[in-house]
Amino acid sequence: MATDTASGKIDFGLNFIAPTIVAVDQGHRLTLMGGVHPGCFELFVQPGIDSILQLRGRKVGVQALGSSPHLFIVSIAAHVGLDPVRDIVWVSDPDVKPKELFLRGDVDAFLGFPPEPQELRAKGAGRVLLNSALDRPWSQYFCCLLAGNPGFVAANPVASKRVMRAILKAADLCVADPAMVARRLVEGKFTANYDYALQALGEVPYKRWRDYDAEDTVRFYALRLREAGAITASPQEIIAKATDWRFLNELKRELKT
Amino acid sequence: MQIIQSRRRFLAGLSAAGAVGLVGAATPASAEPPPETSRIRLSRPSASASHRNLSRRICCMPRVSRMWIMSRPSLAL
Repeated sequence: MATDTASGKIDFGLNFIAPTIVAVDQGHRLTLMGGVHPGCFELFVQPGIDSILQLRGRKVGVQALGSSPHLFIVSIAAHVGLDPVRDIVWVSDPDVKPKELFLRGDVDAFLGFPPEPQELRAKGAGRVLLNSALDRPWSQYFCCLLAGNPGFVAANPVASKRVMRAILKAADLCVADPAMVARRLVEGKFTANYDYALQALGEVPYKRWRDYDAEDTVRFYALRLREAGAITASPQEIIAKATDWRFLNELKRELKT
Repeated sequence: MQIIQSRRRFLAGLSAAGAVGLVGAATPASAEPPPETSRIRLSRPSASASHRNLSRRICCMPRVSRMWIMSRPSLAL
């Protein structure tokens, strides 16, 4: 999504911050405009794994190298001193989702995001080793940030601010009326199960966008990714190259509750 | 002309200045000029759809078999 936004294939993308940072490090031009919500990922592990350090030598299912779950686990591993390249065996199957690989016992861990965590918890499958909405330090930072194509944002500042306003109001709506949002998600075929959607909307901290610091989030993940060897740029270089918080700052005042 | 300010007047002025700062700095949608464009392209916010697209891309990559075990000497993504 980050490269699609950078190339102008799409104008805006809402995505986990890590792939965006990697894209900026690789030379893609993006404008990060603000954080939308903190954690929605949960790390599921098989019985017998009680810490992140015990992922050493284990098989971890991801969609692909460079995908959001991969980069999140890379960040987590680097944070506790693991070498994500040497210490973890990454497993991906183009035809089988990591969740299915996990349920079959083909991998020891995978990162689930809604509605997967809700579904697995209902089935009593595996256990949650880390919940990015609850566990520090991950819970203290945004998960998903809005990024725009720099050319589009520069040429269309009023439209860009309106896009951001609409997305932040949508986050507020997730807090104010989660049942209605869950219904719309099912009706729009974004997800199949209403109960899981409603549960996820209650668990993802959508109300935090006013409180958390988007720049801190970029700094935090850039540091983790640099420790892991996934990027070479410093956090300050990423922030200087690819952030513009003016719309966010205006909207924080405008949408003050 | 009143030169010496009372404490109450000073605080009232401070509050008014704060309120102007809060209200005046941001421009609500109704007060904005019309957007420069009516066409915005966004990604479809569906995790499963993006995974499918990603999987298709992986399938098209050389040296990728059905089960792809990935352990590489670097994180050159």
